Amino acid sequence: MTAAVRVLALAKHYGEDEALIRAVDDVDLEVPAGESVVVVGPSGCGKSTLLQLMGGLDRPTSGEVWVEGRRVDGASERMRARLRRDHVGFVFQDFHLMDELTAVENVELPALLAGTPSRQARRGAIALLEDVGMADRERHRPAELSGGQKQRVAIARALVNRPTVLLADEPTGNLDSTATTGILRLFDRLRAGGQTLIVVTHDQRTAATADRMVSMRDGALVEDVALPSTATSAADILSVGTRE
Amino acid sequence: MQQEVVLALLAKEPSHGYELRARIERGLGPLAAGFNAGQMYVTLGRLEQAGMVTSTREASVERPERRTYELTAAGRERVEEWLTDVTWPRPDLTNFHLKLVVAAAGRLADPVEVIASQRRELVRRLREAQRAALAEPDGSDASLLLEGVVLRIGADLTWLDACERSWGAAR
Amino acid sequence: MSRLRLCLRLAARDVRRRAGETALLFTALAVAATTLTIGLVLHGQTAAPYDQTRQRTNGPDVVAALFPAPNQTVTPTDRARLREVAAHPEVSASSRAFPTTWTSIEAHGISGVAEVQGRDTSSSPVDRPQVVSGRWVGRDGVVLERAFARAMGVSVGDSVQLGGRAVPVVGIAVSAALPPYPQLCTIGCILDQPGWFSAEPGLVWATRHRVTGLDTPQQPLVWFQYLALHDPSAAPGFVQRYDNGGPPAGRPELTAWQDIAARQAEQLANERIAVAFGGTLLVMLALATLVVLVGGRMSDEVRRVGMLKAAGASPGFVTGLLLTSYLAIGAGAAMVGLAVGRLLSPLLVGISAGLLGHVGGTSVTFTNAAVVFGAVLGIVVLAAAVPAWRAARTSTVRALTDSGHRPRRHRLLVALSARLPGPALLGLRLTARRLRRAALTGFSVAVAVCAGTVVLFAQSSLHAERGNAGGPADPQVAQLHTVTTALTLLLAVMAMVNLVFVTRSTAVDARRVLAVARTVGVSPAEAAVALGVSQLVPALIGIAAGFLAGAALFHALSSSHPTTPATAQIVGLGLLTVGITVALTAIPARWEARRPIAEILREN
Repeated sequence: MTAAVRVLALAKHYGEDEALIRAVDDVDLEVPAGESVVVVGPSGCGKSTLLQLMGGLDRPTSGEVWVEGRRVDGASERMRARLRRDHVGFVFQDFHLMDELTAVENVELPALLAGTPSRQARRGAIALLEDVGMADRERHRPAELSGGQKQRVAIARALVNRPTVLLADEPTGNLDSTATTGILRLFDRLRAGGQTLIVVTHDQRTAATADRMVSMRDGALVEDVALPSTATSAADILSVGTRE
Repeated sequence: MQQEVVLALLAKEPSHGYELRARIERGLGPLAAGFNAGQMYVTLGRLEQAGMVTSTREASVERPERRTYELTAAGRERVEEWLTDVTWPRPDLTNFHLKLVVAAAGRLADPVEVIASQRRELVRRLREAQRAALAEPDGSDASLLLEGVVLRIGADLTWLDACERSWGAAR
Repeated sequence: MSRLRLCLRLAARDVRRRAGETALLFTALAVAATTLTIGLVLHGQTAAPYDQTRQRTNGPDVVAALFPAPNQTVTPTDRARLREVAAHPEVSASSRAFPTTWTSIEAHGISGVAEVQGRDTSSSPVDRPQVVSGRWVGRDGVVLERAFARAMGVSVGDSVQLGGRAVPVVGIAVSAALPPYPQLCTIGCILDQPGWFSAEPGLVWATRHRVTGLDTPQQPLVWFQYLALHDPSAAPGFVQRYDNGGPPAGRPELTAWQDIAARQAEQLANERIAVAFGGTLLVMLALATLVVLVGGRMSDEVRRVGMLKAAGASPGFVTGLLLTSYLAIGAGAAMVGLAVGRLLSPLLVGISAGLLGHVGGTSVTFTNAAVVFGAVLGIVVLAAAVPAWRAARTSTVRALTDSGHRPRRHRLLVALSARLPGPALLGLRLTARRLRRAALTGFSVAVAVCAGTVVLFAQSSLHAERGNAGGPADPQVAQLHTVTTALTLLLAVMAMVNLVFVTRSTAVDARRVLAVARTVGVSPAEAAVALGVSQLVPALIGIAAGFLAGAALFHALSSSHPTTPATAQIVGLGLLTVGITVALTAIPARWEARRPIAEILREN
């Protein structure tokens, strides 16, 4: 089975000679379909760059990027655009919603741009907003939404064309603890539904919920572990005895 | 469970032992699984000795759950004090730090490795707690408590990162 | 002192950082200043130049013209009747009777008809033509009336063929005793030669001897005499009473000075309308540009002020800094405007060639300069004062976080665009984001196309008028042409400035939106098309409006029958405008669209 996303010897360099910065340094990574991977590391370790390269938002200096069995790194901008339209959904830390459109209009935009008839696109958008728990705010503009709500709208937008892979760059970076919990629940549901997830984060909680954790430092992968599944109940953890 | 919780449960009105027990179980909800009723009666006994609670027997029955417990004035005072008390458990990181120090000094183990293992354990615990939190309904007491656990483990992990940077550089 | 140096350094640094915008602001202010200068100079031209001319040349109250009966010459009886009129009790003074006839004139390859009047001297009790260059006829030379001289392209020292003979032009003069060239024949002409039927003669003075020598049976002599009345305002009544006395043959024909004045005023009015309208358009455009430019800078300025305040600058320092940069720009623009205005003004006062307006020509007076400076600096101080006042009022924190103008939502456009294909959808939504800017684009294009259309109309009318090849230029149409060309140049500059600025800011604003659109699958080509569409939609509306306005304007301005320019020309103008708009938009758009998305999003 072809992997959803695969990178081989991927590298992204900036500058030259003494000023050379290896943002991503010879990374190999393969993500099968349906898996949820989290990429962690200190700030400046290159995890965001890696994600952008995987999503075709940036050109690598060298190496290969394959999405759904199609080679992406050398493709034209037009082909990459098509890829983003049909196979890859991207969620940004800064949301990047259009201020003058309502939530539902933001979500249906990619569908409209892909040529979906307007009524169908609208229906799909409303359904997705329900999925992310934002159905009652569909007519609100981004300025009227909190950070967590905006992020949920952004996730809905990334999913509207049913991409195979969802890439999220610090999705909980700008959110408080409660909003983070909301997003984590959402990701949980997506995972249960079989969505391939690749999430870049420096938040411990987000990292703890994935199936697989990849650590980066100075542009290179240093660790790649599968996280064991657990079945602990709340009561076990919160031992409420009558001791003092 | 702290003594004062039991005292506070009696603040409104005196009650029987079994009533008290029922109240506690209700309040804990799903966390009530770990609750031990026997311990509660032991606590009540100690409180009586300390003069915070009085109990009266019901006729000739000698069973703790049939006794009626009531707060004394001292008990009431204690409850009020407790409500405004702001003591908080102190984080205790010194032991771990000492572990690293002696490991390094005696060349018994690589501090960075020690930190890494501890990290892995904490990550496992964090994962457990987070999963458990997500399994609970949104906004429930359990999920709130688990959020607290998760955040504190997260804080410890952040500190371990700092330790790693510090001890790693010292090499 | 060090604070002053710091102030200057910060101001200079800021100008360098926003060089492009500052240049645009400067240009807009300069154009506004130029227009104001021209307007003031023209206004400084006496409001009633004919009155002034009449006064200075002692113009007549009544012009008496004695025409012979057809195919006959003027008899002594006729001349006696002329003397009778001159002896009327209401007449206070009169000139001699001057012999006048019509003959051919040729100079520099242009051939026309001249009305030649014999006067050995320019002094006279009534009507003293003012020599503006050269001297009077002297021995054997001729003096041309100034407007005619301009139309023929003749100056002092040239030699012209008058009635087939070469004569030197020794002078150029102005008189109030005749209707403005080319309307001389409203007083009466005899043009019996073949081909002269529709000719428009101009006035030439020569010696009596020469004129009497030009007397032929086909072109008999006509006698003109100029009269002054005791009561100049009674001239029309005088003329009317005299006209009621029988058939005109053999009797002098009288014309009151008010009629002549009316014709002069009419001609002047046409020219004034053209300049006034063009000038108003220009000022409107300049002001609209200024509003957008200054408004666009406003939030930037407020933030800058906030930063300075946060760093500890006093309100006085901050105000001083703002004023320094803006005043420097304003003063420079005012000076450029005055200089350019001074250069352009002479082009626009040609038609008053037949009249004496300003003694010193078209110079910019001290008052004019002061007004222009005042106006420009006033605008500039306002532009500086608003952010200063706002920043002084709001807290530093709010000034720092002022995010400026938010894009507004237009439900109708959003709903409408949902049904269009991708690029058009994006393009329309981009337009909707900044409707005011789109309106400015449309307005600029409309103004430029309007001006271009008027020029095309003027061109084709001019060509149609020049039906008789080689004739002297019809001053009115030629003048209109000059005026519109000059104004069109200025308008085109302004419109280009606007278009460049609006396109640039639209592209910058659209950058982020298009980058996000690309993350959801829009290709670079589609993004470029979207940007093009967002500019083209208002531009096309502007072109249509411009054509209609230009045609209407020309019809309103031109007294002659306007000729519609060739369809090819109109289409050409439209295509040129579309081409420029597309080029200004598409080129940066295409280049932008090739940049990696991550880079663009990082910047923002």
